[in-house]
Amino acid sequence: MLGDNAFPTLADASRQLEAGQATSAGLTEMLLERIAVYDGRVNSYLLVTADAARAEAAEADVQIKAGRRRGPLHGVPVAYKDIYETAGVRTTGHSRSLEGNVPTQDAATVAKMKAAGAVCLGKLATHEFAFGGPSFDLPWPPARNPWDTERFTGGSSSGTAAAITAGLALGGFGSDTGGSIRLPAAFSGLVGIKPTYGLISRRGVMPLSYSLDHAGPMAWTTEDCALLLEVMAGHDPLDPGSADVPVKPYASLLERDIKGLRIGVLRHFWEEAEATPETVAALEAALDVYRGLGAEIVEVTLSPLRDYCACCSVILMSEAIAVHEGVLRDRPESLGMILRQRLRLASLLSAADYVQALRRRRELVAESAAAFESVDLMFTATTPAPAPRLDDMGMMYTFAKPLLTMPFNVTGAPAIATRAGVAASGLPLSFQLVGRPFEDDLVLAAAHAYEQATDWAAARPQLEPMANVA
Amino acid sequence: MSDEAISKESFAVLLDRAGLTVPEAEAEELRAAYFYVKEMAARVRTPRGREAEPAHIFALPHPEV
Repeated sequence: MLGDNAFPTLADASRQLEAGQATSAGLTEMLLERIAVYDGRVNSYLLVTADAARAEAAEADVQIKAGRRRGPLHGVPVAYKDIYETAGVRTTGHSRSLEGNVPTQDAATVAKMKAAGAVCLGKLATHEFAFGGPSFDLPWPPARNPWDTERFTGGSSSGTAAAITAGLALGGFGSDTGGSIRLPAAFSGLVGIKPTYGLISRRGVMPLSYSLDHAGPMAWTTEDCALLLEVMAGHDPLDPGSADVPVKPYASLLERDIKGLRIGVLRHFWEEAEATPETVAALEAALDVYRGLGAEIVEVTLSPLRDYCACCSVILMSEAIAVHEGVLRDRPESLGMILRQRLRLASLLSAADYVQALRRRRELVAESAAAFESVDLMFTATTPAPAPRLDDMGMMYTFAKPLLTMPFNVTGAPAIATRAGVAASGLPLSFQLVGRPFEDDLVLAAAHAYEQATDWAAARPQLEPMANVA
Repeated sequence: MSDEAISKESFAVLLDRAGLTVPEAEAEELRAAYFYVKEMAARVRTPRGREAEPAHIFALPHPEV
């Protein structure tokens, strides 16, 4: 059942399982077979837990057949970025420094997925500790973009993006501190949502920056992400950043009418990021789709993109060095060169720099909240151009150009990246929709409406099977 | 803000203050990138009164009522 593009979306698989038209064992075996044949092309998995996946799938089939289906994710195969702790299963952060690390507990999100009956296929590549990459001096190679394996997947949830895009998992889990869900989603032609800060527990997800880290789902469609978010979300009293708010039925709220919504366009962000003409054309075409759906499009201006990025980067680096200074001091050779250098650079920030960035953050959050008084959503690019070549990614690329994703880590607002068409090169393009805090349901519904009005999700990349290579 | 690279001597002081011992080639790479850190640190300093609070504040748990 390899059939190059014959694999379903996560939501389709869920419906097939519910209707008895597919089995979890069959879906799992198909994906394990695809992993064996194609993953050598994209390096998305650090560890495939095939035996455990088969056992979980068999158990799910028994329960579903017996009428004990737990919900839409029961029996659905997924995979986790290797910063999500998994009890009894190696969790490395893609770092030599944790090469033999086997947690004794699951991350809160992994526990929720297990309780929902999802099947775990394995652990996925990331940039080292979600900060250093793409690196070639680690025990595992960096993930490659299935649309063109010479291209960057984006990071740091690089393996999650590559696996889903290549049809090696039906959905997956990433983390986003400055764009690490949305950038790989954009470069890989996926949907990825950074939910509102505090909506999903961070407990058991290796920290990079306590006040900017967000866990979140990535998948082929918005509906898939909504199904995953519905299970992941929820208050966790053991995560100090967790918000005690009700979890909404995100999937059943997707079909709401977006007629009359006011969408504020952050045009100056993509101008400052020097978006390419074909990216701008795709963004304008997406806005036309929203006009056609009855949304009102207005312009919005915030502080310069670089102000948001500076605020995000200073906080991120300051908190990251607090997380990693021990290993940088005591075992620097256990870290890849990119992470080592970025952490060294972070060491040069002062306490005053950090506090000034936190003061700036309060100003920027207030500015964003004020702008949301006159619009329901904001719209901007996810990246200024399609995926660059993997070998063009310098050590300090994250500093050289402002990232269009960082503003919404600063504000903590929900932000989704979704495909916006295809460049002349055949690589995917993407835009972001941003909502008010805890209005993740509206962000998902608006992305879903666009997806339903276009056919970008129909195309899948074609990979050469490893066995056919001389 | 000047985009001139920091001098080797001044940068060596910064590394030393941070407790870092870095091979010369790697230190040179860091020295070239230090411009970005200076630029970011300058950008987060907007004119504001001394009463402007950071985004993260210390809060005690609320007592049960």
